[in-house]
Amino acid sequence: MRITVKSLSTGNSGLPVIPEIDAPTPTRVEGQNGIGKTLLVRLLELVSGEQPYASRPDLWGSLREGLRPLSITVEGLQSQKMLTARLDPTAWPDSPEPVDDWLGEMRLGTRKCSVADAAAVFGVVRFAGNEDLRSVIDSELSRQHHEVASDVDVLRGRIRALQARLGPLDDLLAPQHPERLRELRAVQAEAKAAVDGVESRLADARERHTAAERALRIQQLLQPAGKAEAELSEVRRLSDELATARATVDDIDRRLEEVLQELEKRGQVDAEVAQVERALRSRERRLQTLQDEVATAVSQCGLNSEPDGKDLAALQQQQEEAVETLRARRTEVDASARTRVLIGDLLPPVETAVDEGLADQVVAEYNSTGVSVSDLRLGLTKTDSRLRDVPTPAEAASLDAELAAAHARLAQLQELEEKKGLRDRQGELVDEAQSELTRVHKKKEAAGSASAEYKDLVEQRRAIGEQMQTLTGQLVAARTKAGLPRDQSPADLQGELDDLLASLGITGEEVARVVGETIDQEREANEELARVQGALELARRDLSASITAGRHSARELLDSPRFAWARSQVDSSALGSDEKREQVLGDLATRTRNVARELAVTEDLLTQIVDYTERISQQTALPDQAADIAEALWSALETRVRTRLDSPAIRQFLFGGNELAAVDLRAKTIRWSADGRTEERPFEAFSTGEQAFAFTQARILSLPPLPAKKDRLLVLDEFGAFIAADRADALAEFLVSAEVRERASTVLVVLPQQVDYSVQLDFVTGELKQRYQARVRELADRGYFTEPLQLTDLE
Amino acid sequence: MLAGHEEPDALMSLLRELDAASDDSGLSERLQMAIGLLDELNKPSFSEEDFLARRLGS
Repeated sequence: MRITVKSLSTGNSGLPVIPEIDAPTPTRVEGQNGIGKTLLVRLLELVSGEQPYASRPDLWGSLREGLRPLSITVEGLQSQKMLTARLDPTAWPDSPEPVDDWLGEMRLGTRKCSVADAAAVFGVVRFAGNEDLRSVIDSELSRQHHEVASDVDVLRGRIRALQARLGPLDDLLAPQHPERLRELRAVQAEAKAAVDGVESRLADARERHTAAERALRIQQLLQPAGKAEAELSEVRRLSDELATARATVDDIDRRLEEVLQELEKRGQVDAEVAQVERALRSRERRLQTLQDEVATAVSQCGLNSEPDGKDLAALQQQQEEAVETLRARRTEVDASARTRVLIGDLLPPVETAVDEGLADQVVAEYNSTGVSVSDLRLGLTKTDSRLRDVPTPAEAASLDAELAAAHARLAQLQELEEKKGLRDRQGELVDEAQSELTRVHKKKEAAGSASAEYKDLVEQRRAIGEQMQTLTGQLVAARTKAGLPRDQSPADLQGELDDLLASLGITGEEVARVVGETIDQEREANEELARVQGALELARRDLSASITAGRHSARELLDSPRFAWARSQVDSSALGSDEKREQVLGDLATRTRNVARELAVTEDLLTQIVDYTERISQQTALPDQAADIAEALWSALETRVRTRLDSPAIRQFLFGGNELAAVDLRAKTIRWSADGRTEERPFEAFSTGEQAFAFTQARILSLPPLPAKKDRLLVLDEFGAFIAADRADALAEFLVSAEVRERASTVLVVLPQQVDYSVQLDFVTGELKQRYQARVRELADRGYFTEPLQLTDLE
Repeated sequence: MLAGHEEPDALMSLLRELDAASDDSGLSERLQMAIGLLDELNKPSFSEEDFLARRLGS
């Protein structure tokens, strides 16, 4: 085999490469350091399709920088064709990728060929003399890492390309993801439950506050001293007097009935008188009842005295206006809330349109002026901001309470008006009955049938009636002044107080404190209510925005070229209705997320494997989080190394012909069975000169035999150690053996210059002297010499 | 490098070996997911659109 190298550049020659190797196998190549012996071997490995720099990207970079274009020719191949490679390092990749046609122009004979074609006829295997078992295993682990990393680089590119397509779809559909919608609905339900809970707490606080306030007021009323007691005594006095008057009236009425019965017996006239008298009394009783009801209504209206018709009409007018004002305010609050929800629906798609460059597009006309998308967004944002200052839901609740109170007061005024009307009508009926009575009395007097007692009783009845009317008016005023309901006595008040204390679960001494507490609780509950109502409104808006975004997503999916590839995955006819669209987009979102997750999990896993195989090859610790994968990785790599080492030749040379049982990469030991015993040795045990030599022989014999018409160049590099030692004979004998010839068509033994041959010339004679003279000439000319390897050379 | 051994698809065979060596169900699940996915990515006829259509349609 003859190998020649020619430079193809004219300027700086760059890294040196020895120009020629021409000798029968085995060939000795010996020369000074730095003249390019090993570099030629590396370039030949590249030409044969091997990448010797896979684990040394730093050296690859230096090679690309320093090497100038050159051609390498290999002659004397069994294929009878000359292999020529024109290498141009400027076209080589930045990193040491697997060799491909980027290497340069390849020819077999005169025909261009690929690197694979060249590799089919020409192979190179280089063994370094300093490679022992330990370093070979390290190289194997490094090779495993670089092969895996190279595969991952290619696949990562495809994964990233897929992620680049899936990412925008995942983003587009994110608001429609069922998990997102479930989450939004759960948030809304939670916010609603919070509002219900706080409203309930607020109602309880209000109820307790009202009860406590009422209890406190009653306690003040029932206090034995002070102004309240004076007011209360007056109420008691007037109540007693009124009760006494009522009892007297009842007595008079009973007696009158008796007298009337007697009078009835006196004849028709008397009967007529009696009938009119009964009617009069009945009407007077009814009048008294209506008087009481009017007094109650006056008290309920919070008035100190009964207003006349004109004043009452004015009060009603004033109250109706107050109701109208509150109602208008409440309507404004409702409209503001609904308008903000509408704005919340409209804003997201408008903002998306602005983001997509549609800001200047006219979407509506108003008064013959175009409204652009950005105008619309500005208008919506401003209105939303303005409406944010409109009363909060808590203020709305307060307005509701005020409105209810105003309605109640208006109803009370209307009731007072009605009662007054009934009373006045009843007064007219009483007047009519009295006129009628006067008429029949005159008739009776004419008939001479009057009764003195009857007249006296009637007079008493009239006088007491007037007195009762006066007392009733005074009592109403006194009760109003004392803040008492008209129909409650002090005993009633005490009973009510007892009930209130029982319902509050407190004693009388605790009332004032509980009033303060319930005020605080009510205030806190109101503040909390405003907060949770705000959260509920926000949750509703988020859900509404998500559903609105679904319409936009559907349009994008159907219209945008970015998603043309995904369009066939959805039933476009189902995107018209909100319900079906949610289902269709939700399904697609779920599938998209699943595929994205698979890609991410796979990429993470690949990244981990690359990282961990690198750490193992560099003998650095694996991170703690690698625990799940570490055991499997160690096991897989140990199996791989064991398989690689378990060749018949290696078994024979290193393990006495026994099968290799296990390789422990962490303990750095090898185990095999021999004669029923388990032998275990550390890697280092195979580093002695003898073991390293045996291992080299084993590795050579582990090469597969050469197929027909294929050449293999076997290079033993840096083999100075063998030459200097007493194993030189054995090596030379081994290299010319038939077993080696079956596996390598040419063997090169590359050596550094062994001695200064010009000095040795004085100590040799004959043929050896001639050979040394030739070596001296070649070393002087080229810095190296090549010649057939002879056993005597190695002695 | 040990001569005479060539691994046409180093990553895929390593993933399968890891799966065989793993007794962690979570890791096995991830490995099988990756193996299934990479099987498709490795096909000579691989196209992004076909891959996504098949995956999203399943």
